[in-house]
Amino acid sequence: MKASIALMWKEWSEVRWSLFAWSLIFIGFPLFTAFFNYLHTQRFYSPIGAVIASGFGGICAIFIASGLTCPDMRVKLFNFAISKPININKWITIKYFAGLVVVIFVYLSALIIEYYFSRNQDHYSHKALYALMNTHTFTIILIYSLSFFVGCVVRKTAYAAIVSVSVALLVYFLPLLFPPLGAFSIFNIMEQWPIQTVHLSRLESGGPWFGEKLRVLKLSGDFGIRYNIEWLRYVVVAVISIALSIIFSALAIKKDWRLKIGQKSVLWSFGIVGLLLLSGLAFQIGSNLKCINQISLKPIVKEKQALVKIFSRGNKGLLMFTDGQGRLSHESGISVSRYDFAGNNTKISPTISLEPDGGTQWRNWPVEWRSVLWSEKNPDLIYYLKREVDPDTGKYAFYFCTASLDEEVGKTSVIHKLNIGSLRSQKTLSSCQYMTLKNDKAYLSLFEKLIIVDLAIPNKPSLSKVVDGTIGYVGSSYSFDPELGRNRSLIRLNLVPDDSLSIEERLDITAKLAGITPFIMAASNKKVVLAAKEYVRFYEFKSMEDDVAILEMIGQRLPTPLERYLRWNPEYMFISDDLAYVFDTRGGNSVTVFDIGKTGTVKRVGHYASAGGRMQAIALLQEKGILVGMEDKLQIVAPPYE
Amino acid sequence: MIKPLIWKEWHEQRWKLVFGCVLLMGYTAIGLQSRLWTDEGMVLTTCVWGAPFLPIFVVMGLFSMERQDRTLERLLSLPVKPWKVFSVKLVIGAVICVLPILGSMLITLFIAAGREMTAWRIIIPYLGSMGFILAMFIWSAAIGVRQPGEARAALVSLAILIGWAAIVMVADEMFTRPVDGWSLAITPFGFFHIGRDYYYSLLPKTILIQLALAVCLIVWGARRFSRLEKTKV
Repeated sequence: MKASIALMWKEWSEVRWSLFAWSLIFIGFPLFTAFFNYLHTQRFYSPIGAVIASGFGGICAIFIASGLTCPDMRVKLFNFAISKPININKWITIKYFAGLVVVIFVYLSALIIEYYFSRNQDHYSHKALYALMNTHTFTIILIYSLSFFVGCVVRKTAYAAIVSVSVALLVYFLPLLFPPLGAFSIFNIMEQWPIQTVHLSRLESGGPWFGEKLRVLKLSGDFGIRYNIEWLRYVVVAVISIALSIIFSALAIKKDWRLKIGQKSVLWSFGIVGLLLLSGLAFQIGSNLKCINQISLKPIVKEKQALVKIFSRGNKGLLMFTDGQGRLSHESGISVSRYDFAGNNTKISPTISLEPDGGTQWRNWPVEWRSVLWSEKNPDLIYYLKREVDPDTGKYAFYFCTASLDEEVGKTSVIHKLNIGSLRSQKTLSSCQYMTLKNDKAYLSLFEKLIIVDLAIPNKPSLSKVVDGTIGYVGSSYSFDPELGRNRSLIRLNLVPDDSLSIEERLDITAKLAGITPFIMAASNKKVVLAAKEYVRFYEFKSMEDDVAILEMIGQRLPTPLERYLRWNPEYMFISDDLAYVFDTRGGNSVTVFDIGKTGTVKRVGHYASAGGRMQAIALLQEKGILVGMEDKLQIVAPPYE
Repeated sequence: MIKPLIWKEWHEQRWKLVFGCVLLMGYTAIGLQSRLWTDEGMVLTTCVWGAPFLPIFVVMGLFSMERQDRTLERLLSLPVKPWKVFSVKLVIGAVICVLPILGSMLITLFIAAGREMTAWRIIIPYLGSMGFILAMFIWSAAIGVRQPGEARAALVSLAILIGWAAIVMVADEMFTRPVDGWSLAITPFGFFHIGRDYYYSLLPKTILIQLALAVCLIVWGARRFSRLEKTKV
């Protein structure tokens, strides 16, 4: 007992300066900034406690572990220490816990201070703090334990610290960057709010995700703890690793294991780890598709105007711009411009502004850019949907308008307006409309109605059909097929009720009209691809039941941990030559290309991120590549496999 | 006698040049080629994380290694004035600090000039970074010249960096009005305020103050180095 107290005193006298120094950073700094904030705003508040804890927690653990171990492991001092009648295990244990107490104290103090400052704030910031407390704390202990082991083996403070930094980088980022280790990615686990206290009576019911990942531990009364099974797995692995680190640290000291490394090898190992992680990042989210041409749109677009959509056919098409950068507002003006990239051409015509008849009247709604249609068959015409007051009834009605594109005048002129009725809805125009053109017909999905407009006479459209009911996804099933001896995943799609079309065409139109929730859809040759945040699935047409198509999943790709963490968010997709081009709106936006040519697999074969500007729209150019529209420029990107 | 000293330093330190170049140029090349971020973002991250890293890394092995390996006595017993030894170490160290960032700048110009940024807009932050690196290197070398181990030398550099950050933060907190960039000029953070309206008025002030401080620190560092023989190793 006396020996233990003496050892504790020794370790305390060594570690107290660290405690003081790190307390200044973890506790002093938030209080210091809160004090100055109080002087300026009369509010004693600082938001940096969690930032310091999460950003410097690992560094603190490494410094304390290296500082505690290495100085005592120098040859002469070490020989002196082990010549004393003390139990090595006891010495190591006391040393380990002396440092750990300091690390945990300063780390949790910063979080508690932050919790105190944000006590009156939203629940969201508290959840993040809880996740830092109940999950990241284990990571900090793991890093401390691994650094402790490294210190016992390397025995030189600076080298041990650098090696430990490399190890910490691997602990944090390797599972995020290398999908097989994804289950141990601290970032992915923390963002799911892994532990929450719940009222058992208010728990939401079931769901496959709930059953798969979440468990509930009943406490007293109506209270329980809901935890994520991935968190439990992470904690178990962390605890085992921590225990092994302590055991191996003791062994390293008892058996006098020494890793003789010099400055060169230490720094090279650090550099290699850094470059390895960066390469992993670049491999997953970097661009492997090359921009082969860039065309500025500045000569034709006005200030604050931005490209929002591309209509493309072959190497020609139409670019659409709005004043409000795609946002719906009464001030947002729409203009269009033709482009021709055939051969070596990069011709872009001057813009033509869309001047809807009566669009400036306050009672009329503006044209929304998503409700504009164009086809290469009638390149001088443009169709759009508009909501305005019917002069006969005095009530709102929807009009399918036809306008001519006149480059010389620089404005469109309305040549026909087809009243398609009020549709009896108070919903806004932009929230639920999807439109497409096919074989002299325009298909509009509007407020749970399908409207088919006949364009046989291009400048005088007529109403062909109005059908009630939604089209698109109506359900899915997942079951074991004893005949095939495997599970089958089926989805049911309510197809466009137009018997004049083939199944391929009906699937194509249905996919285009189906919208973006809960996934986006594209179809080609009886194949349908579904892309959502959690998956990209590839289905094949199996059978029809009335107007409902049944499709079976034949391949899928789940996002990597990094993609999940960065919130991959697919918004638009098209298929061409067994390649699915998915436009996603994460960060600065990007386009990802998946190969669906092989049954059973969905392979990511290309990616292009829009560094240097926000990507707005994509289209395919014949034989040239992918046309990427940024706000003020176009880029032609080489397709995959070239 | 200077030539053998240069040869010795070059042979001892050249791997650091290779390491710095591989790390910084590799980072720049991978980032720009895979377009992980905007070109401007890549340039700024290279400059900002390369700037403190390189001086710490070079200073760690410049003087303290000699003390640790007990070669300092021999070095100081050579028929050459100690300030010359100090100067040679300082020059070689400065070259090793600056060349990787220069290499990174060339890579950026080669891959990305004219893509999103003009060549001049690429060069300016790199020049700022070089200024910061040289200032931090001189401060760290002069203040940390007597440190007996690499860890302590690195800690001195880190402490300098934290001290500078503290000066800027305290100045920001203490004064509600801008302090005409004095805190940024005294600490070399003034080199990094690229793109701000006041950058071009701040830059000459930062350069002048840092030059004056560098001269003082070099003289002080050389004097301390000359007396190292008498200090306990």
